[in-house]
Amino acid sequence: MRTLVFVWMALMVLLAVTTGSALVPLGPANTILNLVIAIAKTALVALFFMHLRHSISLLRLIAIVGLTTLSLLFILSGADFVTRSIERSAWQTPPDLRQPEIADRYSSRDGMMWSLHSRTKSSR
Amino acid sequence: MSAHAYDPASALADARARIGMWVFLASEIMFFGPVFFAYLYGRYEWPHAFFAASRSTDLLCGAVNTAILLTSSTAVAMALRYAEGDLRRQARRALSVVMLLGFAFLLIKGYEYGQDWHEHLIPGRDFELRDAANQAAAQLFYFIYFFSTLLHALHLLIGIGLIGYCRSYLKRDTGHRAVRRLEVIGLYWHFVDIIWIFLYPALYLAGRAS
Repeated sequence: MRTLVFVWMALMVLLAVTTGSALVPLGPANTILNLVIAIAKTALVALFFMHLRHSISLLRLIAIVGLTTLSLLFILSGADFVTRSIERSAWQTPPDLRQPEIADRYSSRDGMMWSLHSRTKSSR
Repeated sequence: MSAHAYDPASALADARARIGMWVFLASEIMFFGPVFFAYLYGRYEWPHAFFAASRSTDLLCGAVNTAILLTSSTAVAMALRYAEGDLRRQARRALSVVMLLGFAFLLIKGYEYGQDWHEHLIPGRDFELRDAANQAAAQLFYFIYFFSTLLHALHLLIGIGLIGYCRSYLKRDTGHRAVRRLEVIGLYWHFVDIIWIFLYPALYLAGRAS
């Protein structure tokens, strides 16, 4: 029971750190810190609350197989999305980008958005 | 660990139940995974809009809800520890706390949804996020936000129901079976907690400092 209270306190400290650090501008370190803390919290929950610490290795294997499969799917689809440029198919009517009003609607600071939504408010 | 004498048949049933739940959870992760992938893709493609949209969520509600869920997970682990020591009354009390915390989480989430409604953050015709230059991408963030939090809330609702079932089963059945059910349903509760552990920084903390 004491262990559980300690784990709870550790979880609360991690929550405070991740929330506090998110308000401090650290650049990319913000994201990395948030991710590391989320993984640390998960490890605490999985090892102590879900008993992976004392369980047979088959259970740990099931957890690892699930995570590995998910990472494989992330890597494969990620590689596809990152390297592929989206091209319009022939039957899609291309928007007339010579008209400034339409061109405005489809471009923005974040990049080309034409495929996402047809009714965007004109961007500034 | 159990107060009962060691019984190989019962230990085998324990192991089977545990493996079954872990395999189910491994399949659940495939269900939630694509939502996180959609988020990652959007954040990679339109970082400014995603950060602006993430800043417009309610940080206090998110942080309190995270604390609530982490505490409820601790209470589930405590209830199991009590039940294994045959302290049924204490176990049931801990499970009442878990259910209350679960409802508190849903209540706060509902309050947030109400706020989102008033601030025109529901994807659709009236969507408007003033900070974002790219409205379509900000709307995509909110689409992911609502999909993931509603899916999580649904899981939590099922979890509350299952915990309530365990709570009454602990009273009806004095044998080891009630403890086994509590352990397996506890695994599910912890899993739902872990999903939120990742949703919280993704939806609430991204871009706060920029």
